Amino acid sequence: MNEPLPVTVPAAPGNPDYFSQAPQIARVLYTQEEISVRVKELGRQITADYAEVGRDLVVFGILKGVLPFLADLLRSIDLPLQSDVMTIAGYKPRFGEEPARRLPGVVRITKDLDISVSGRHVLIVEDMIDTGLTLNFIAKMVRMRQPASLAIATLFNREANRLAWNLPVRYSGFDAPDDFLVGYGLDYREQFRNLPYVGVLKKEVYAL
Amino acid sequence: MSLTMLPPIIKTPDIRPVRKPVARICKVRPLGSLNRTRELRNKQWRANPYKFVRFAHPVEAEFARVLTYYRVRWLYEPHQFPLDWHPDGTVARMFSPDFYLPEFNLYAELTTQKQALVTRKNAKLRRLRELYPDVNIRLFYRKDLQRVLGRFGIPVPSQTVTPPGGLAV
Repeated sequence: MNEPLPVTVPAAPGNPDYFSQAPQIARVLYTQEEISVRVKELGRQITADYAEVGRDLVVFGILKGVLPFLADLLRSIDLPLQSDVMTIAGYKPRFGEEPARRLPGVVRITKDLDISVSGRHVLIVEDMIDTGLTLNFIAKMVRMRQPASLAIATLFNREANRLAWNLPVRYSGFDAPDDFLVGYGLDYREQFRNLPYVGVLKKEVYAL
Repeated sequence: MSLTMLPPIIKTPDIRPVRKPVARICKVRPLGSLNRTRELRNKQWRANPYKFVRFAHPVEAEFARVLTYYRVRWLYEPHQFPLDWHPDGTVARMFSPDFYLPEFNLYAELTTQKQALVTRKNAKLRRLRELYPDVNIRLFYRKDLQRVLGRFGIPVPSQTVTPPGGLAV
C-alpha cells in the first residue's frame, strides 16, 4: 500500500504541487509537466497526420472529464479545425427498488454536436478508455453520420478491461495502470476534476 | 355388515368448470402464431431481461444493466467449454463464462473473490486459452469491477466464500 504523500502548500503558482494534495489521493501518478509534455507530443502527431486534410478536421470531446485534456490538445494542434463537445447521460444505478423491476434505461445524448461531421475527418477526444462502452456508443452514432474518417485520441488507455476492442484508438497518451485515477478531468463522484495532476485514489474511498 | 348392505357408490357429476371449446378447437392456429408468441417473449425479454435471468451474483446483474444501458447485447452464460475429460471420454471439468457479447465476439468473466482466492479460476482460464485460442475472453477481477462499476456509484461487495468443511469467511 502506498503511503499518502504529505500535504504540501507551495509558495508560488506554477509549482506542480500548487494544489495541496487531497487527503483521498494515495500518490501522484503524472505531474502537470509530464501531462503537458505528452499532450504536446500528441498534438504534434495529430498535426502531422492531418496536415493534408485542411479544414475538414472536426475534433470533439465527450464531457465532462475531457475538458482539461481537450483544451490543452486543441491548442497543441497546429491546424485549422472545428471543435465541439458532446454530452451523454452516464449510467445511474437505481437502488431501493426490486432488482427484477430495476430497468437500466438507455444511454442518451444530452448535448449533441452543433456542427456536421458528414464527409469530414472526425477525431473524438476522450480522457480515458476503459471498457470502451461509452465510446462504442458514440462511435456508432458518428459512423451513422458517415464521416470521411474516424479516429480516437485518449489521454489514458486501459486495454486490460476493454470490451469494445474494435475502437479506432489512434492516439494514446499513457497506458493507465489498474488503479482508480482522478484529477485532470477524471473524477470520482464529480470530485477531483480540478486537480492539475493525475493521482491514484485511495482504495478505501471507492471500495467497500 | 355384509357386502350387500354397503351403500352403492354414487358417481357425482363432474362439477369442474368446463372450458367451452370455442376458439381453441374450432379455430385453426395460423402458421405465424408460434412465431408471434416467440416474438412476444423476446419482446418481454428485451424489455426486462432481469425477470428471466437468474444471476449468480448481484454484481453480474449490475454489470448486465450497464451493458444494456450502453446498448450492448449480452447473453448470460450461453456457452460451456469442456476443459478436461475422463478416460472414458466424459467431460470432467467445464468452464462457463458469465457473459457473451455478440457485438464484440467476446466473453466476460466476473469474479468478486479476493485476488488470493482466484487461483482456480485463473487456472481454468489458462486451460481455456490453451484449448480454445480463438476465444476472446476478459476476466474482471474484484478490483477491476470496483473501478469500472465504482465510476457509476455501484458498490462491489466481496463474495461470501465457504471453504469445504469450514465456516463462511
